[in-house]
Amino acid sequence: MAGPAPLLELRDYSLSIDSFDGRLQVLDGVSFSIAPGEVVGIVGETGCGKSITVKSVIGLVPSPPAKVESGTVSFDGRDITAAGESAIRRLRGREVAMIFQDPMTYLNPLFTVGQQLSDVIRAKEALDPAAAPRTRAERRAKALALLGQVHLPDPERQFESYPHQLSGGMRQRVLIAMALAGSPRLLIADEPTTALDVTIQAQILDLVKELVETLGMAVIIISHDLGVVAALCRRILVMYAGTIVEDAGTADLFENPRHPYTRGLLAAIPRLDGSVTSLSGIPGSIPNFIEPPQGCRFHPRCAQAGARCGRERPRNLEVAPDHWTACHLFDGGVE
Amino acid sequence: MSAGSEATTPAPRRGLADWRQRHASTLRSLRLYAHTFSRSVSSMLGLGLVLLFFLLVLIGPWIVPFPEDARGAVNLDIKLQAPDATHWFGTDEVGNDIFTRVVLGTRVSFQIGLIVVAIALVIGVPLGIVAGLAGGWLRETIMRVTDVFLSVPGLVLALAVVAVLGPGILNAILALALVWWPGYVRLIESKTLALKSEPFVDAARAVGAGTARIVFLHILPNCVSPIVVKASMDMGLAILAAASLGFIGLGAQPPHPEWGAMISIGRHYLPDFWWYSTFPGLAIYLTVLGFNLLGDGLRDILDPKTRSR
Amino acid sequence: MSAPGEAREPGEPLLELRGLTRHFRLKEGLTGQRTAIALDGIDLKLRRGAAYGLVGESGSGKTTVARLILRLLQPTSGQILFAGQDITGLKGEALMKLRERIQIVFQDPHASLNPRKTILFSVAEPLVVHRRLKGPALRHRVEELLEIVGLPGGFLFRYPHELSGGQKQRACIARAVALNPELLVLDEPTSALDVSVQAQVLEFLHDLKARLDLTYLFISHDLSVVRYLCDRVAVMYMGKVVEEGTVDAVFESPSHPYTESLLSAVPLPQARQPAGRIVLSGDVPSATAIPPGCPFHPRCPRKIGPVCETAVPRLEPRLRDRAVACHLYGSET
Repeated sequence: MAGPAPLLELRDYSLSIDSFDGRLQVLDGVSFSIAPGEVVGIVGETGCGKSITVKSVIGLVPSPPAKVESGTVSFDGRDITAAGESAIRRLRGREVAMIFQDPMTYLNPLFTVGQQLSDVIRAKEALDPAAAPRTRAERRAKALALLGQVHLPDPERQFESYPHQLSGGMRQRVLIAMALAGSPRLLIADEPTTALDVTIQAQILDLVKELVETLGMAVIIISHDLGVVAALCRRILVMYAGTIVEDAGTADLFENPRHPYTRGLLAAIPRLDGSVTSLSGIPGSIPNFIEPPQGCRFHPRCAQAGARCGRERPRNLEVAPDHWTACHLFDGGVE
Repeated sequence: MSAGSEATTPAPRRGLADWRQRHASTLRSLRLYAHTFSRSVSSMLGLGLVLLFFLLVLIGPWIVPFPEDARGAVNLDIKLQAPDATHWFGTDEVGNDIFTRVVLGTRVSFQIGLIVVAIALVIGVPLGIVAGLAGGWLRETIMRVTDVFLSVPGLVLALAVVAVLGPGILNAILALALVWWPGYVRLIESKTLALKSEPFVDAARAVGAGTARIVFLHILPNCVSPIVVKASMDMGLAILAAASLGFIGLGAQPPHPEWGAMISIGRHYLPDFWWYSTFPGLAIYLTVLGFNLLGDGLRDILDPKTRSR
Repeated sequence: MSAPGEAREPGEPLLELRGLTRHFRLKEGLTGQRTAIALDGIDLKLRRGAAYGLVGESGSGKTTVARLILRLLQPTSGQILFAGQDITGLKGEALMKLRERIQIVFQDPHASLNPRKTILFSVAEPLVVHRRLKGPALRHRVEELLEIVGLPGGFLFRYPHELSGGQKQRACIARAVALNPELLVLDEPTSALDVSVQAQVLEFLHDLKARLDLTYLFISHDLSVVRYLCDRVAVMYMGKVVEEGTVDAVFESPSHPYTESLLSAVPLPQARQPAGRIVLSGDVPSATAIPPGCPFHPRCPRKIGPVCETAVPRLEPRLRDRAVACHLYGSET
């Protein structure tokens, strides 16, 4: 994979979480990299590990019970796998920002939008020793500028509003403004539009697209909705049961999906234009993570699986330019 | 849990295998409860204390060395003796064995606690369910009366009631029960309000289930956990309140072996005869601590939000 | 998608809503009250054997429709006719009889099953309440129902938290069809499920409809799902039906500007997004402050003038296969 030095790179990252029933092998050998300014989508169904991957990278998964089994994570060339709590917190505060599905959970109902945004701005300043501390008025001006940047209607008035007075779409805009306060180099958006209505979702998607173009930050969009990632991302990673099964450019992925899971997923989506008259779900359900299937984790549900799939873990292989997949079908067959 | 393996499970049979299959889920939950509970030191301490006192309730009369001392025997020749091998906790001002009286006092206290909580449940739970389901003026009436009771400190109200009825163990129980039920109305009313808008209750209404069915099969079973937690905590608090009434002379009357009354008399002999008040005091302290820790532990395992899958 | 029900007289609708309206009183402050208009005089007709879609965003009133039809709520005004009979005021025995004929599946399969009861209890509940069966026959029938929904053996004594989302929704469907209803109201039945599971449930619902001779009222915010499963659709906005017609007509050439922008707003899972997407500005107004005139006019990209702000457009037939409530088509007949 040539090109610029990656901003975020995971190599063979494996994570386990202890539970009452045993140790869950939630991530198994996850490798991917994101270039500066790149917009990447991670898609997959519930329990595939798409959220936990990025959350554990930026230290939002408590350990224990979680434990990194193997692999390295580097940000901007620095290995942060073994970085301490404070180093991770600095990274999270300055270089990486995250927005979530339910904005209300991340806004304090007792403070106005302006107070919370100003607090975030002050916290970001504290993390950056080079910056001169701002006055109250300067912070207010900066906060209003941020609210303008996310196109919150009537920012002066909303500055004084409490979160419950805002609609869901407006709250998500406020959360995005907070995320932008530190001028992050990587924005992680975890299901940013799942809780919103479709016409509001379209507004937020437009906003994210515009911000990516003007600010040039890298973005990871985590979503279960292939439509959302298709609308925003140039590259898509497909996850299944804690592994990345396919990694390809957006157009390539939809036109030429390789991995049987990706193909199954695409065949399961009803289409707005009515072009699909018969849906095929993927038989079975997600595997047990305590004793995950040997070999390829998808093989028990895969129609094309052979003896080799239950024995041998598939390698991640470049099957076309910048199109990677982990399946024996493209690596000498399944028998 | 894969769909494939379920398809091959044989049809249920009669007998042990059937029983085990029926209760597999329950058994697993119980194992999970036990596991979570046993990992918490404080919960186990609470359970240990409560079990210990329950044991004393059950076998107390057969293990105490001087059972007649709880019935008003007088042995002035051995009065106010310090703890020794015969009288583990020493003796009181009429020569009664304090160990005997503390152990038998467990019965009195638990009796009061259980009856008070039971009466509070019997009054509070139905009122709470009615208030939660009914709405309108009925709910307003029930909740406002509850508020009135809750706004007066329980012990003060109980004092007033006992003052009217006259001191005595039965009146103390009555008084405490009378001030204890409003807490349950509050708890059950809010729980009922939340449950009645749950889709599973709507689904039951949509198939035509009547109010009785909804109350007894859908709402009450889902109220059991908070009731158990609150009842466990309240046992401790009711015992403490009964002891307080005993202490100021409005509860159980001497020579009845009641902890609060014992402390009350014992305090006249402080600090020289320290053991007289200390041991009943410790008994109250440990009982209340035990029930509180147990309640906390139960809340941890019964609260579905903290339960792992 | 043809259902066996078509053989019966096509003239009489199975379900008909006439001017159905529902207001909610909201308390404000100590004494104040505001009225939220959840549903504002809607008319709908469901042919027997139809798969009728009801789409709209949150606050459009689509779930209120479901609760009214199920008689879980009383309408403020208007009528609900089922098989020609006015069911709006039914009580007692007659209401019980009705409940055998109309059933519902809710959105959240986890919350739709009593967490303290086994699957056997939940699926058997309609049969027990209506005193259809008891003892071994009851258990046998429940096993049969679970078989129909694809949950063979071993699930009877499980508790909801042990089942996956898809399995729970199948159990809910088993409960809903236990009394052999004629009309099944499906309130967002797949929106809590993953796509691969949703596909299984949708396929299954499609087959079940033919197999049990059912009529569906399918409520959803997901337009693609409605396109897949339904043959007619009504689009709702702020308690009103703004467009109604065959699924193909409405989805391929939407007439109402709201329908048009709704369809255009859906991001598509494909290589390239179509050009010229309409992104509506602003939020859905509050149900306590519905704009006068056409409720959509503050956000409408094709507003024609003051008439939109003052006159409420009526749902009028247009072309051959639809009805639209919009002043754009005011002069047409």
